[in-house]
Amino acid sequence: MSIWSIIRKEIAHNRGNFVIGLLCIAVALGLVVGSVTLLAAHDINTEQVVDAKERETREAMEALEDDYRMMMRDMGYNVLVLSADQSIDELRMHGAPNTYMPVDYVEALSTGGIENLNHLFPVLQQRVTWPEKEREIILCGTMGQVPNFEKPQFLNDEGMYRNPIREAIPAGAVELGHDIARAAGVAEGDVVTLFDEEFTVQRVHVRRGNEDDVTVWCDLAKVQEWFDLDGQINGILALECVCHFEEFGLVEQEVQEILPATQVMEFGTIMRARLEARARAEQMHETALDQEIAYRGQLGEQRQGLVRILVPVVLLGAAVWIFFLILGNVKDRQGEIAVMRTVGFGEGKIMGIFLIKAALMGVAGAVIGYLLGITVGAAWEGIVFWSPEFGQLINPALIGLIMIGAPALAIIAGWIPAMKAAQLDPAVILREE
Amino acid sequence: MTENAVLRTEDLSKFYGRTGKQVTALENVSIQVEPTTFKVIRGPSGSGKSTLLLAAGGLLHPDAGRVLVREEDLYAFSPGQRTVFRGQNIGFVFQQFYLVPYLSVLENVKMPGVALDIPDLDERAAGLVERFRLGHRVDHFPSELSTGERQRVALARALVAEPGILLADEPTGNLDMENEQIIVDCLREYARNGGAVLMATHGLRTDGFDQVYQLKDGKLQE
Repeated sequence: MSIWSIIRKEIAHNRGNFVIGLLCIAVALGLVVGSVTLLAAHDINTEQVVDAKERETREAMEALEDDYRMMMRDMGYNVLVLSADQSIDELRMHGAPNTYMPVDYVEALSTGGIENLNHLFPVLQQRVTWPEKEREIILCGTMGQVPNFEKPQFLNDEGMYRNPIREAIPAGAVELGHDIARAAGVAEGDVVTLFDEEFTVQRVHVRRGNEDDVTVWCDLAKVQEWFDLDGQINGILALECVCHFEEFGLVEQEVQEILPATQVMEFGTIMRARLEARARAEQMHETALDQEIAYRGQLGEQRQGLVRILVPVVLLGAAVWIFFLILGNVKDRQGEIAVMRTVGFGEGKIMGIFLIKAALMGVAGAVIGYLLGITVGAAWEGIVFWSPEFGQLINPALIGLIMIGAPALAIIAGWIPAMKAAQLDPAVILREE
Repeated sequence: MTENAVLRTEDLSKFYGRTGKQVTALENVSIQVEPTTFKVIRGPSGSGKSTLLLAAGGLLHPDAGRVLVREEDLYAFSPGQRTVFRGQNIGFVFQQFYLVPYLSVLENVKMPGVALDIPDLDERAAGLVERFRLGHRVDHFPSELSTGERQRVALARALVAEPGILLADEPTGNLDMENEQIIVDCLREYARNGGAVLMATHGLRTDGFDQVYQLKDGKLQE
């Protein structure tokens, strides 16, 4: 026989009282743990939602980027690299550059590690009269696209562009702009004479609404030969892949670091349209993300506010409940307490009987309350206990706090009734009964 | 007055209530109980018998006078010391038994051992259970016992610490004739074996007791 077995047997005998107390603590702590878990789960979910949104934004931006790249590619070149001494006024007046640079320049760009240019397209353009047709044309000799080896993702196994904007034109072939083909009455597959030489028309381009419509493209070497410009070109068309406004203009700096004797003409309207569209899309996603973060933050604050009110109220309610429960238990056991005092039980032992019982109630209530709270709190936020996120909700500090706090709460609540039991005057009880 | 009395009260007085509406429960009561004696306090209800026993047992502080148990002044002790001293030296039996409902017969008998250091507790408890013919009831709970059996359990519990004196407050008040005789015989046997018994009763029987104190309105009658 020990004080422990007296407590144990009393609990077993009067289990209704014990179970009610235990449930009271379990419900109170369940609410506390549930609330804390709910907040933690909310934070986890918020993090996940924000991560997902950010990922979604990033993917959308990447997709957009890809779309823009394709669109830009389809829109044609947006940069023209010219010799440094080329007058832009003269270029506009003549419709073609009139200063030259070595064809090797394109090689230098191709291998120079340039970041923001792609689809390098060296040209030798001359504004001339097509003598056989008596038409003003822009004659453009080209050797096809030269790859930028800094951007291998766009190249095939042979080191050529997978989706080139323009193909090389073989010797003996020409390509015609829409308007000049129409004016000359020429169609694809026809043979035309140009500067006393015969060429097969391999392609007639669709109307673009610019000087391309009056351009005749042919092999670079042939144009160099006609104009006695061996090894020379007068422009390198390229596609600039700038994604942000702040990068706008950087390409000239980049090119000039490799080719100091050049200048860069950016076709601003196309570039700006692209950048603005991209910026708007990015802003739209960021706004959506900000709204989501703000909404979840607000929801979290509302829940925190509720928890701040709920937790003290619930704990106070549980304490009051336990107080009356133990007080009732003391009242019911007055005769037993009196006889215990009579046979030699001191005040400390009598208090111990009630306080140990309260502490046991607290421990058992804490275990049940914790399990209840974490399961329901997590489930409320859609986190089931077998999911990996559930592990993040297990907070050792909270477990420690609950396992110490619950018995402490029960002991504090039971202190006055236990003291009352210890101070019961056995003479009064024995005389009254 | 003999020097070897287990219990002595000297001019014990106890009053209940406030000044002006005061009720005298005991007035200058002096008694003594020696070892091997079985003494009785007799008197009608409200005569002060229970008050005398409670005061004599260290449970009710008297307003005047002294209580000496084995020559120790009970009320000179601190409350804590008095509790331990009482447990070791004074046994109580009440009319209401006050058995602990969730403990078995044997556990009820052994209960004082939780509070006091009682040597050979198990043997003593087992011996008392047998002596009071409760051997077949050791694992039973109070609710499963007859009234007489309950009082015998209470008596065994009172004797397990082998106190010098047993104070019995109407221990046969709830019992039939047969059980009354059994309890009285048990008390008598205890006295014969060296114990001292002071029993309060409102019964009329006076035979077989070493001394009968007559109490009326808190005063001993000559």
